[in-house]
Amino acid sequence: MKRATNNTWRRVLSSGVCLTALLTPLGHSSALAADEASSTDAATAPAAPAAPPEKPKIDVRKLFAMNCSWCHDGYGMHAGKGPKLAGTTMSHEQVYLRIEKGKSGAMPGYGKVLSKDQIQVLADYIKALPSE
Amino acid sequence: MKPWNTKLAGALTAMSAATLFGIATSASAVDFDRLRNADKDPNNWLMYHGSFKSWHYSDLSQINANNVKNLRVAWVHTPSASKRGVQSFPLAVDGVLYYSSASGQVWALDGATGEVKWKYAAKLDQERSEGTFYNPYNRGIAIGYGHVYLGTTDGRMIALDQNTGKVVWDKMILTVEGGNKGFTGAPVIVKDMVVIGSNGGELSGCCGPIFAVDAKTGEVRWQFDTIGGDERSRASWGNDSWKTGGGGGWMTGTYDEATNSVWWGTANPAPDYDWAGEAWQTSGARPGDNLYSSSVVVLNADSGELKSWFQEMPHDAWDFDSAVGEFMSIERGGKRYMLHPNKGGIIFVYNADPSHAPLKVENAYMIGKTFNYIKGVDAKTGQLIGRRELPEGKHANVCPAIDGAISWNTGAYNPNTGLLYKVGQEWCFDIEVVKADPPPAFSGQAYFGASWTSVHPEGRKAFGHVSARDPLTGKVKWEKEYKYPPLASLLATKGNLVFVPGADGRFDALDGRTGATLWTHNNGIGHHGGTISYTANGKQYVAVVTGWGSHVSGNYCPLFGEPFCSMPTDAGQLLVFALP
Repeated sequence: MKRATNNTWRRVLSSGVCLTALLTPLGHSSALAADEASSTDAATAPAAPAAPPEKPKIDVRKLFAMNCSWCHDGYGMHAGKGPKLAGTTMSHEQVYLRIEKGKSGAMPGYGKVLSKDQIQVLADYIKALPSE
Repeated sequence: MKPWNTKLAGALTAMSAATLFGIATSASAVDFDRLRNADKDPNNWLMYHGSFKSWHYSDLSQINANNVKNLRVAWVHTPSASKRGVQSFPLAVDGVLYYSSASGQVWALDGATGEVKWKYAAKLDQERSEGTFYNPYNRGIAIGYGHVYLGTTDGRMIALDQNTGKVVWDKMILTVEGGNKGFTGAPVIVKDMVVIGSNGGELSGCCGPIFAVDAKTGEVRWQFDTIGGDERSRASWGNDSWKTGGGGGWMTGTYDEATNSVWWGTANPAPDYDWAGEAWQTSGARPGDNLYSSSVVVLNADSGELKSWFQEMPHDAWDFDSAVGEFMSIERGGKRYMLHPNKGGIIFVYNADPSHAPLKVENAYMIGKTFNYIKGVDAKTGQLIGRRELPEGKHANVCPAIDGAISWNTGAYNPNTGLLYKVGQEWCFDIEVVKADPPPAFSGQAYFGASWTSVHPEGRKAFGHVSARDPLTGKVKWEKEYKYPPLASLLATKGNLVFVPGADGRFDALDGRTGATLWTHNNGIGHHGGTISYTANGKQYVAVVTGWGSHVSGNYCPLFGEPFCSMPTDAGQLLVFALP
């Protein structure tokens, strides 16, 4: 039983990390693009604009351990002080909002602590957890 | 000696206290003379720990081992806020029962009938309160000088008129600039001050202060920073890590009049779980001993200056803080001792004389059974033997789990049986420690460095126990195993009873001499608050609060299944029992 759990774990974590690398939050990207466009002066713009700096990869496992682990056991795979996250029936958007805003009397909001990218990555990770 | 002390030496009467503080008094006003003699006043339960001896003992015996089988519910009160259950201790003053419930509510009820005399509900800064996990519960109040004192989750202290519930003063005490957020523990009145400790063991910040505020005005009289407050402390946190070091004193200490000292237990350091492992003295997230986290501190009651301390968990690697539990004052053979339980399952027996610095340990013994985070504790020095460090990586079956072998609720001591009654809880966890990035200094952000899963001890299911033992030697007289570890405080009475509020809703009365169950009542939901006894109109009552949903109780569904998986976490009551 324990071995199966660990194997499941590895799959989840690796998929979470992959998701972290692949997913770019649309809202945030759009805003960033708009900012860049408005600040670009055609007269001074270089012919070949430099590529935007690469965002540092987020280690979702560490992020989870640092912020979520006191209440959600086993990287979200088990109930603890808070509920089991794996198999949540909440939508991705609901998970994102729950992390950002919290739940009154049950969970603090992390909107002022974590970046949008970090919340997005955590929501991706939680939604990717296996329900079994 | 200050003028106040001169007056105190003359044994204050209610009238002299009123004169001194200019507070209108009534028949039920509680002055400091009553508080310092609370152990001789069995009709009332005047402070969180019953008296400054912290015995959680009632000298009433109308209800006793012979007739407890007839105990019945006398009345019930349902508060309008009980998220995460009612976790507080009722207080009883001259026939009136007072208690707090979640979200800063306070109730005054007729002790014989439960009739509501008044209710108060604090208007809280919800954003600040909900910025931590220490919310929305409240663990108790203090009563004195015509006031009911309450700490709030948004960092305020409030004094209410004891007769009307109207606000007398309402002061912001705790600044968030240090990363601290609020209060959940009960305050205690010390002379003409009200003392309370802050939350913060898992928050990136400093300095987890303990405050004494003026009982009359709410002005801060002194502040003791549990970390980073003196050079000795700062030197024990490498790389200035005290700035993200947590600390705090989230439960209620006591006052020792013989030495004019406040005794308080402090919270764990942050981050919870340090990746350094064996090299913690020189490397890791917080190199060094991390004073005065996971320690007992003894403070000058008048100034808040540190007199002495003992760090029960040097460089706490397990979240076994010292903020839990009671300081039991016990005399034997002309010598005074102070007992204090630590979350790691150790009872420390200190010499009560704080001129020893650090405190002199007279004995230390384990009440936990399945522990493997240490091999033991040195009975002569209190030093941990054979530490099991938790460096970065995975560690299986570490016992006890983060929840400890002793939780925050209290034991009890009966001077007639000479026995200490105490709960132990036995489960473990699998943990992976990660190299956490420190949050900004003083930010108040959560600061953990691990993820874990609660598991059963190797070879058997998780369980709990209530033991009766000699408080000084630890020698066991009897022990009773509980399928579900109780999480609430115990009450011992002169009637040879020990009341045990159970996790599954059962409220037991045990024979304090043998451990035999003499009576049980199903209160319908788990307990993790206080239980007291008092009289109203000459009749003895036993009161207990119910409700489920504390952080520790969250382990019970995954460990035990039902009835815990379906137990509500937004319900709770005050139940009062009496003989027919």
